[in-house]
Amino acid sequence: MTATLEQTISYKNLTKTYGDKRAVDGLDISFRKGELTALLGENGAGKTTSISLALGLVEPTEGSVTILGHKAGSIEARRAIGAMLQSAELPNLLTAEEHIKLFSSYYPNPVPIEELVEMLQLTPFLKQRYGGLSGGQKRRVQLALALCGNADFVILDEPTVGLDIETRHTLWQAVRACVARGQGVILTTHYLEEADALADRIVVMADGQLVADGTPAEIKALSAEKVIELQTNAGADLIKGLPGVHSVVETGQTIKISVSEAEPCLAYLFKEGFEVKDLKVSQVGLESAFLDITNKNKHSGNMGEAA
Amino acid sequence: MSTAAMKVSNLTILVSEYKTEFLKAFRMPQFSLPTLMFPMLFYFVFGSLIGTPSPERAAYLLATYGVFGSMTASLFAFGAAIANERDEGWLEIKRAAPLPTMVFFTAKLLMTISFSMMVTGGLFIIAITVGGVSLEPVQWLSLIGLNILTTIPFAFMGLAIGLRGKTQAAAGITNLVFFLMSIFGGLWVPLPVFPAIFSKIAIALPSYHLGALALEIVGVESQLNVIAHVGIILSFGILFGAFAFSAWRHMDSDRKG
Repeated sequence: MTATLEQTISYKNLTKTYGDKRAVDGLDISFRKGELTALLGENGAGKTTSISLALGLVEPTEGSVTILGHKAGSIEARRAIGAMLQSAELPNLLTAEEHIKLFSSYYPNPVPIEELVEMLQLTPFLKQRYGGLSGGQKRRVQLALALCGNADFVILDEPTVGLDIETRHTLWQAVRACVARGQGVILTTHYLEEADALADRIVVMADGQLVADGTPAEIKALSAEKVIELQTNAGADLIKGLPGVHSVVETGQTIKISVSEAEPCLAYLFKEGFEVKDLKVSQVGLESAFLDITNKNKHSGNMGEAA
Repeated sequence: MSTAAMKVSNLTILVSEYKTEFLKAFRMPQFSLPTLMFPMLFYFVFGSLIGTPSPERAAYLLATYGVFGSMTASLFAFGAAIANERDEGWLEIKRAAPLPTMVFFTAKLLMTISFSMMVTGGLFIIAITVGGVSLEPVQWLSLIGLNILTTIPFAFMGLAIGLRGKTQAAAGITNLVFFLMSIFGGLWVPLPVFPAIFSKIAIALPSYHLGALALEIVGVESQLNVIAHVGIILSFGILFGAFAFSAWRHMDSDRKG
């Protein structure tokens, strides 16, 4: 089923410039309800600006963003979103409970506060002032403000940066529960593991542009490289010529080979009787797969969508 | 059903927003103490202790300190405090939330008026008990009304300052404006005490005109007529209202992204 404009957050040819810098450059994308999308990219890739545009915090230079058909920033659009912003602090002098009750009053159909308290484990500090809370507790309160409205979409900008493991897991659970209830969740992150573990869909941005869009498996497949490390008497030049080999780097005795598949390359070396010592084959980490995608985009323009 | 399609009563939001704003301001000693204590303390000292106190002088200073109290609450609530909330990112969260902009400002203004009314009440008590001031009911009520109106132009002015500068700069500018408005507006010490140049500068300041209206209420005639005072206050309010509106509209343009 294709989601219509009335059911999605839709970016239409959206561009936002700051002076000469194109923070977001011709973004065309939709986010659906009931789906958890991870918006992935390095610092400065345009993730936060994209989100600020959907929240109506910044005006687009060109194009438009609509939320369920309403213009971003309109009261209807804002009522359809609960948000947690990066590095935004709440007033210190109010208690966690006062903050949550205030934000609940903004929405037509808020989550009962007891439910939030239980889901986010707020009980120990609910009556304490925000200023006295620990970093992890503060993030939980901020998350509560994003979730309390039971809104159609929940947008979280770098929600897990600097979080302890326990709080991170609480957040993950809460986010999964949102999706299970049919809410759409968009979160930005630069942790690929997080995107992989949580998301139904990963959208990769670089230099303000969309460079890849697909399931976590599809995104990983975009750069399924393996690395062979070994010591051998076969020369680097010879190895470079082998099928599937992308690059060869010699460091002292060790040769590092980037290859799409390790087996054919190794089979050749063994068959030809070359000496092979200290052999190690590893999968390229998600982190480097991700860097790979964004670098390829920078060098070759656009690699298109994976989906 | 989509939460976008459902309505929330603005009044419901206003009540909870106002309650929260008030609690927040009340718990902030750097706001609530000077706002509540300075006008009453100054009035007590200048109106009843120094020089030769008289009911006439107590009534005169009741008028100007009432305006002073409202101006103080309004300038600091909308100037320094907004700049601070903007720096902390709190204002962004509020702007992203489904809180209608008008409700946000109305709640803040009601909070300011609450402080202004607490100050006004305190001044009235000092005026009656210590200063020996006796006024007609319509005069008391007019003073209350004027003190409420005083908060509006200074709220715009505070906003114009608070939405532009960084916290430190905004706090400094707010203090400077506060000081100039108080001294040159004749709110602390009657203008005739100062050299004639003070009265000339005063004509350009809304604090002077609001003070002059308050003085008219307690029976002290001013050099301009009431219409001129009201006109100048209105122009000032509209001018800074436009500055505040433009600052609010263009808040995103100074972000880096």
